[in-house]
Amino acid sequence: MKVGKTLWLLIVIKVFVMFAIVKWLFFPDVLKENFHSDEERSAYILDTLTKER
Amino acid sequence: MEHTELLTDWSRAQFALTALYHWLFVPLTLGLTFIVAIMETIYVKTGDTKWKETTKFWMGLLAINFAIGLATGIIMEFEFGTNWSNYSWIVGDIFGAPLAIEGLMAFFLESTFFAVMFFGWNKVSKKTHLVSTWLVAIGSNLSALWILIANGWMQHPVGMKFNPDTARHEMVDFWALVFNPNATSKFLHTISGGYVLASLFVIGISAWYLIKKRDTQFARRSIIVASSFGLITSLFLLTTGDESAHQVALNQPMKLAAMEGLYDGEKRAGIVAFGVLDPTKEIGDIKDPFYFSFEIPGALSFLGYHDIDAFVPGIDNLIQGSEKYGIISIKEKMKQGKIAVAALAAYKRYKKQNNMPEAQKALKAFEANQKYMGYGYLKKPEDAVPNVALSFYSFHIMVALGTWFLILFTLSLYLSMINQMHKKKWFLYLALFTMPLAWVAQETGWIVAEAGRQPWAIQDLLPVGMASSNISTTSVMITFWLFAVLFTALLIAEVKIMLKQIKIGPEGH
Repeated sequence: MKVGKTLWLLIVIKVFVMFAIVKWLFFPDVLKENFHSDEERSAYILDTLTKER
Repeated sequence: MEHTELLTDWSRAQFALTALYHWLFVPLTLGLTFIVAIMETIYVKTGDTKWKETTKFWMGLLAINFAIGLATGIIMEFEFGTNWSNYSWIVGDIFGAPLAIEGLMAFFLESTFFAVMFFGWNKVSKKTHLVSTWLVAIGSNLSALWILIANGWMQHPVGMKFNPDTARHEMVDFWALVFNPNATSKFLHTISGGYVLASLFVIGISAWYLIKKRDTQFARRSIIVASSFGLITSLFLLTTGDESAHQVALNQPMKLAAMEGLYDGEKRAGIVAFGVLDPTKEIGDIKDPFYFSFEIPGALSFLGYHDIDAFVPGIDNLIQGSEKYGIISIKEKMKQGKIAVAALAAYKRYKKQNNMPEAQKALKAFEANQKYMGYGYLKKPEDAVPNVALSFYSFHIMVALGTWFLILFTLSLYLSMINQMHKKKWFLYLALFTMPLAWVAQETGWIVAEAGRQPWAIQDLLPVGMASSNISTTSVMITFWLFAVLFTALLIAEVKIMLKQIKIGPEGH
């Protein structure tokens, strides 16, 4: 079952790259990080939706 | 940082890249799980170990595809939180609920029984193993169901109410969401596309064995199952495609017009069977949209509205509006959209001032015009038109390939029934070279569905420019290339491992 071992190795590397590198370094949850409460998040989105253009 | 078109374009490009790569893996799993379930059922019914060998070989290739494709979809969930945070907030539980059900129910069902299916050959009884294989097939298709319910809602939003205090759409009717006709037709069309792709995969690889004159009995057995499954599901694909087009005509007429390159609407509108678009054609001019085209008269009216005499509006009609056909112009929709946006701003302002009577008046004005809120963000009416060339060519490539697949399955089944397939080298090569075209059809189908509905993230309510996050364009560009490298590496790994297993053949399993 050499192919099985190769696949497990690939899965481990892929999941590590996705969660430990990609998610951590490049994909912050923008609204969660920049605002403290849902009220603040709602206010920000409402501002974005209704801003004069 | 300010929202720019460049940022939206890169965010879209990144999402498109991850979705298109993810979709290289998913349809094969959707279809191959059923094909191995059918093969294993034959083994359990007949007790013939050759069918067990056949099942195990295709199960091995399924495992490679499953392992490499696994979790590629999670990247899109990262992107929702980072690149599409406005969208994620606004859609709230409407989008979250189906995705959560998908994760909790369908994916775990699929993954749990996948372990039994792949590792349990000598550990559980024949029947338990067979049930596990069927549950993997059902589970993987249920995963697709919930994802497509979420996607169907974006194409045709139903069952929700916008809360102006939280800026979120809240679910008011779960069943309206589940039985959204757009989601139903999209689900059925998508899974049947997966069945067709998997059938072509099995036929293509089996044809290679016949060309090489090795494992011929195994190849013939596989071809009979895949041709029968492919022919039945191709016919189903045809009917679900018809229903999908009907839903597009009813809910996204601009998409239908772009798919057909139709600018000037007409009764008894024809489908362009073959045509080359004139790229200098512009909205509102009198130029013929095609350098040349061959049309099937009345077919578009029938496909879209199930009535050969129905009027199908073109891009110009949809922009300018038509009293005769009850079409509201884009300008009028933009006007109503701007009223909705201004009323929402007034509601927010009056509420802050604690002026509730005025806030209620503003809310009423918002609700009266909310249907076209998204148009309030467009700069000009032409912004409501998707890329016509991309939609047109993608749609026609998908349809042409779908037609060819139906012919191929018919021929393949006929030749294998009369036991002549292994003697027809030309057909074996045709089957082998058709295999990659199945992926082309899948990807072009998604391009029609997603690029064809632009500029909307949520049809008529939220354009993509308002849905994207206000983040650095450079970081989106970096992650775009990062994913391009990562996914290309995964794809190369998949192809290499699969080719190696195919060369080893069924006896090596």
